[in-house]
Amino acid sequence: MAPPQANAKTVQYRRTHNLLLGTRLLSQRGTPSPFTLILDSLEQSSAPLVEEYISRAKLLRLNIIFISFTTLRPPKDVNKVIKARGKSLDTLQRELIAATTTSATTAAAAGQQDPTKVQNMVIIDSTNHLVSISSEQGAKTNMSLSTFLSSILAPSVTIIATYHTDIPRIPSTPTTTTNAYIPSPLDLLKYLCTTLITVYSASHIFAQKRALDKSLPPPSFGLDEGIEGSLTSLGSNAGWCESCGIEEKSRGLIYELEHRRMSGRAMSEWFCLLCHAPSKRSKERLILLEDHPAYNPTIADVPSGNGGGGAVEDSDLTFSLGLTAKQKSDREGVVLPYFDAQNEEGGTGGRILYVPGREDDWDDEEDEI
Amino acid sequence: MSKLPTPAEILGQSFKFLPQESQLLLITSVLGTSPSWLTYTLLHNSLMNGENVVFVSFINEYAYFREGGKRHGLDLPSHLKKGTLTFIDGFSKLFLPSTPTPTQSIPTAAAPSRVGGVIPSRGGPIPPRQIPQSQPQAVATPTDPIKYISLGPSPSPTALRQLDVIKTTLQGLISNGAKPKLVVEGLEVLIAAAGVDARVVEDLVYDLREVSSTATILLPSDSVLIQTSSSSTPLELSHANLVLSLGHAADAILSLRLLDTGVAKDISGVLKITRGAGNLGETGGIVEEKEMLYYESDAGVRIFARGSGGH
Amino acid sequence: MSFRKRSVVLNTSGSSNSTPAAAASGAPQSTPPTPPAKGVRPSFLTGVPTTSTGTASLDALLSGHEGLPLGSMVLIEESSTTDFAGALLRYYAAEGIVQGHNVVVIGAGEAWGRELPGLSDRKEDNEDIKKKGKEERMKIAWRYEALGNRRTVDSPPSLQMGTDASEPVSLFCHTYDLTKRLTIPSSSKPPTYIPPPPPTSTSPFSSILSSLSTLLAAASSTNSITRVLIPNLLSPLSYPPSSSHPTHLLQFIHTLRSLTRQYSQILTIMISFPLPLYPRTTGLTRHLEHLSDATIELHPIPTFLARFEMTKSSSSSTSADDIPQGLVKVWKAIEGKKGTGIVGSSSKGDGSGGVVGMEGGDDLAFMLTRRRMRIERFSLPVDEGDDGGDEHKPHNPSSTVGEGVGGVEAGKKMHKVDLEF
Repeated sequence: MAPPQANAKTVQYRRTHNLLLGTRLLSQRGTPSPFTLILDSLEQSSAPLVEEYISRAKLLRLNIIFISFTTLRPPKDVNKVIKARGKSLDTLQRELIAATTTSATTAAAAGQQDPTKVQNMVIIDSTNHLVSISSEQGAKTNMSLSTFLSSILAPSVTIIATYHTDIPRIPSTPTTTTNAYIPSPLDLLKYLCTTLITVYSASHIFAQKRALDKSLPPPSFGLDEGIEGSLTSLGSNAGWCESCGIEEKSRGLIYELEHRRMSGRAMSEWFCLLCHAPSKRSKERLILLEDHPAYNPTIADVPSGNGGGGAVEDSDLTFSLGLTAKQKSDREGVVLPYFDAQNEEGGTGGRILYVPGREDDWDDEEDEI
Repeated sequence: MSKLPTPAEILGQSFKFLPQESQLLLITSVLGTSPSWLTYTLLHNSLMNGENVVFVSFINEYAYFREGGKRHGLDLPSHLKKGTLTFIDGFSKLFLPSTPTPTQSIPTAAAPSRVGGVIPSRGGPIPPRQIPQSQPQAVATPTDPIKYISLGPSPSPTALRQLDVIKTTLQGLISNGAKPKLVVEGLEVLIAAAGVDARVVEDLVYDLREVSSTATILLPSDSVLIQTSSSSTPLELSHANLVLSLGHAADAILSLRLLDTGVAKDISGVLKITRGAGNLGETGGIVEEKEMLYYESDAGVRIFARGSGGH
Repeated sequence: MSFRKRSVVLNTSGSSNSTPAAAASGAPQSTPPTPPAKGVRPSFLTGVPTTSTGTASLDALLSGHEGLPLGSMVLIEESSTTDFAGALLRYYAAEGIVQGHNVVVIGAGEAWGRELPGLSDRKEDNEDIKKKGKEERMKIAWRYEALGNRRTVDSPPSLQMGTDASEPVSLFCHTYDLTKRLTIPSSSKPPTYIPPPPPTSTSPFSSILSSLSTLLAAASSTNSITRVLIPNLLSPLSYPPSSSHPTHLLQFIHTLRSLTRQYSQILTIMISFPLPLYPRTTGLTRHLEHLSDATIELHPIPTFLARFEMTKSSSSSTSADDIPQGLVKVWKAIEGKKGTGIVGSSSKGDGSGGVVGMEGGDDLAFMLTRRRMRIERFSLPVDEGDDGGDEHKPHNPSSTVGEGVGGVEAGKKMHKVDLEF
C-alpha cells in the first residue's frame, strides 16, 4: 500500500528511465500498452488520470472512443461517446467495432497515407458494469468478459479501463451454468491487462507518509477509516497543490504503475501527476513520487509553504509567527533591565540593587547593605 | 417558524461551482440521523428560485413532508397547487394493488370511513390531521399533484414500469430547455423490500439524471449496509453496490452521521461534504470539502464549524 | 413549586378540552373538535394524539411526547433469548384492553394473551416510586401523583383501589402487576388473534396483511383506537424460514409502515424482534430499524442480577427494584412529528422526556421485578434515597461493597453516578 521509501542513493539511471517510461505510457507514444487497467476508489477517482490520457491522446490525433456506463458528462475532447447503459454485450461490441473501423475509413477519406495506422483509444468509465453485464448475459450470449475484451483488442486499439475496487460485486444467483471455479473478474482483468495502475489521493498518501516518518501508525481513509456511516474521508479526490485556487479543480493524483513488458520484465514505480507543471520551462506534469517535495523532505529545494513536511505549518494560525525586518531591529534595540546589572557598579556581581524608599523602616545601625 | 441554513451556507463555495447540468448529489445518513432538513433546504432553495421540483419518496408520505416543511417555513401545498412541485408517493401504495376499483376508492358521502382497507383512500393535497380523521373524500382528479407508485404485492419485472412515472413527470416539466430538479428518498426500499436488482435502480438514477438538472439521492449509509465482507448477504452487497456506485458518479457526497464521541446536548450530528468522483472531469464542478456540526432544535437547524461551539 | 404547576397542567389535560395542554406544551394546535378517545391525549411536545405504551417509564422515553404518537411503529429488539420485550408488549396489550382499544396480536396464539398482567394496586406502586430519591424518578413520581390527583377528581375514591378493570377510569397509563392476570372488562373487546403464516406459504405475510387491513378498515369506520402487536417477529417457532427473506419481511414492514400512516389517527404498532437470530450487524435488521419509527434494544446483562444475588444476603429484598437486568439502548428515537431530528431535546425544562440515550449517550437500564417492569437512567443503587435511607444506612459504611463485588465495572458506574449529581 505505502509507496517504497525514497532512497537518497537511488540510481539516477533508474529514475530517469522510469520517468521516461511513465511519460511514454501516459502519452501512448512508441509501443503503447494495449490494455491499461486503472483501479480506483471513492478516495481517488481515476478521472484526472483519464483526462490526462485524453488530452495527450488528443495531441497525437488518436481516435478517442468513450464507453459511458455511468458518465453523463463525458470529457469534451473525445471523438465518440457510446452510451453503454442498458445495452447487451453484443450490441456494444458491434458499435465499438464499427466506431473503430469508421475512424479508419474516415482517415482514408481524409487522404492519410496509411489508414490502418489510425490509433484508437477506447476508454471504459466503469468496468464494474461491464463485468456485471457479462456475468448476467454471458450464459445467454456465450460471450464472456475475456472474449469481449479480446474481440475489441487490435493492434490499432488501446484500452483504458477503470475499475472501481470498492464497489462490491453482487453474486449472480447460482445456476447450473455458472462455474464456481472461474477466477473473479478483477483477477481476470488484472491478468489480462498490460499496465496496471492504482490511483491514490495525494493528500492521503502524504498524510500516511508524514505519519510513517514520525513512526506513527498510518491513518486509513474512506471505508477503512471505520467511522460509522462515513463513505469517504476528507482529502478524497484532493490534489496537492498550493497554487490551485478554490475555483480550480484539483487535477493531481498519485498512482502506482506496473507495466509488463514484452521481455517479461515488469516495471513498477510510483508517480505523481501534478496539478500544474512544476516550473515554467517544462510542461511535464508527471514526476516520480519520490521527487515530490511533500513526499520526500530530503529534497533541498523545498518551496516554502505547507509542502515541506518538516516546516512549521503556520497556515492555519490566526497570527503570524514571523517578524518583519523592522520588528527584528527593534527587538535588537530593546535593553532589558538585567543587562544594567552587568555594567559599572554591577560589576562586582551578586549585589542586590535596592534603593530604600520613604516607607522603608531603615535602621542605619543594624541594617547594612 | 424555524430557520434553516441555506444551501450556500452548507455547500459553501461548491454551491456556486457545481455544474448545473446532470448534477448528482448523494446524501447519506445513518440510523438516528434524519436528512429531512437537508431536503427542506434544497427544496426551499429550488422552489424559491422558481425551479420545478419533482420529489419522490419511498419511505415517507406527503403529509410528513408537508408538516415538516411547514415547520421550516416551506409551504409545500401552495407549491403543489402552483405545479412547481410534484410529489410522487412511492410509499403509501408501493406494495398494494395498483388499480383501485372505483367503487372502493370513492367512499360514500361524508362518512369518515375508509371503505376497502386494502385500498387507501386518496388523500387530497391537504388532508387535515384532526382527530375525527376524515380525509377529504375527493377522488383523485387528473390534476392531482400527488402521483402514486405501486408495484403490487409481488413486484414483477413488468411492475417496474410503474417507476417510469418519475421520468415522464420530469420530462413533462422540461420547459424552454430548463430541466426540473429531482429529489429521491428511499430507493433502498426498492432493492431491499421489492427485490429489484441494484443495477436496475442505479440505471434508473442515471436515466433520471438525464432529464433533470440536479438529482439529489438520499440513501442510508450505515456501516452495516456499506461495509461488505465475504460473508455479507446479497441484501448488504446490493445496497453497498448502489451507494458506492452512486458515490463514484456523484458530484458531491453529503453524509450525515452521529458524533463519533457520543451524544451531546447541543449537537445533533456531523455533516461531511466530500468530493465525489463525478465532478473531477473538466465538465464537472468544484466541491469545497468540509466537515461541520449541525444541531436541530425547535428553532431550526444550525450548522457550525467543529470547535466553534454550539452557541 | 414546579410540582404543583405540573399537576395543574396535567389535570387540565386530562379533562375533555385538550387545548390548555397543547398550549402548555407550546405547540400551536387547532382545537380538536371532539374529545380524544379513551387512553389518548395530546403529546406534550407537539400536541399530536398519543396513547400509552402501558409502561410509564417507556412513555417517558418517547422523545418528550410522553406517549406513543398514533400512527407510529415501535420496534423492541432483544439481544438475548430472554423475554423482557414480551413484558413490554404485554403491558402495551393490557393497556389497550383496559382502555377499550382494539388489540390485534399477530403471530401468537391465545395463550400469549392469557398472560396479560392485571391492574396493580396503585397505592403500593406509588410508594414504590416515591422511594426513589433521584431526580428523574421524582419527576416520574410527580407525574404519577398528578395522574392520581386527576383520578381523584374523576372518579370516586372507592373505585380507585379495585383491581378489576371494569372501573371507568380515564387514566392515561395504568400500572400493572405481573403476578396478576388481566380480566377483560365487559366494556372492552378481547384481543383479536391473527395466526402466524402456515409453514409452507410462499408469501408468508400476505394473509396477515389482508386480515389486518380488513380489521383496520372496520376499526377506522368506528374510529376506534387499534393496537397491533407482533411478538417475536420471525421467531422460528411460528414463522416459516421463507419469511426472513427481505422481499417478504421488509415488504411486510414497509406495508405496516404505510398502514400506520394511512390510519395515522387510530393505529399504533409494537413489534418485538429477536436479535440473537438476526443481529444488528445484518442489513436485514438495519433496514427493519430504518423502516420503524423507533427502535429500542433491550440488552439483558445477567451479571447485574448475579451481582445482586451475591449481595442479597446483606440487603433487603425491596432493593431488588434497583437491580437492573440489562441496558436499554434507543437506536432510533421517535421523531417529533415535526420534521426535526431524532432527539426531542426538552427545551422546556421538562427534563424527563428529554434527551434520549443514544449510542454512547446516557445509559438507560430496565428492571423487571416480580410485579412490574420499568426503564430508568442507569446507575448503581446509591444510598442517597430519601426514604430508602433508613434501610441502607446500616450498610452505608460499607458502601464500597458493591464496588468491590462489581470490580472495575462497578467502579466506573459509581463514577458515572458521581458525575450525574
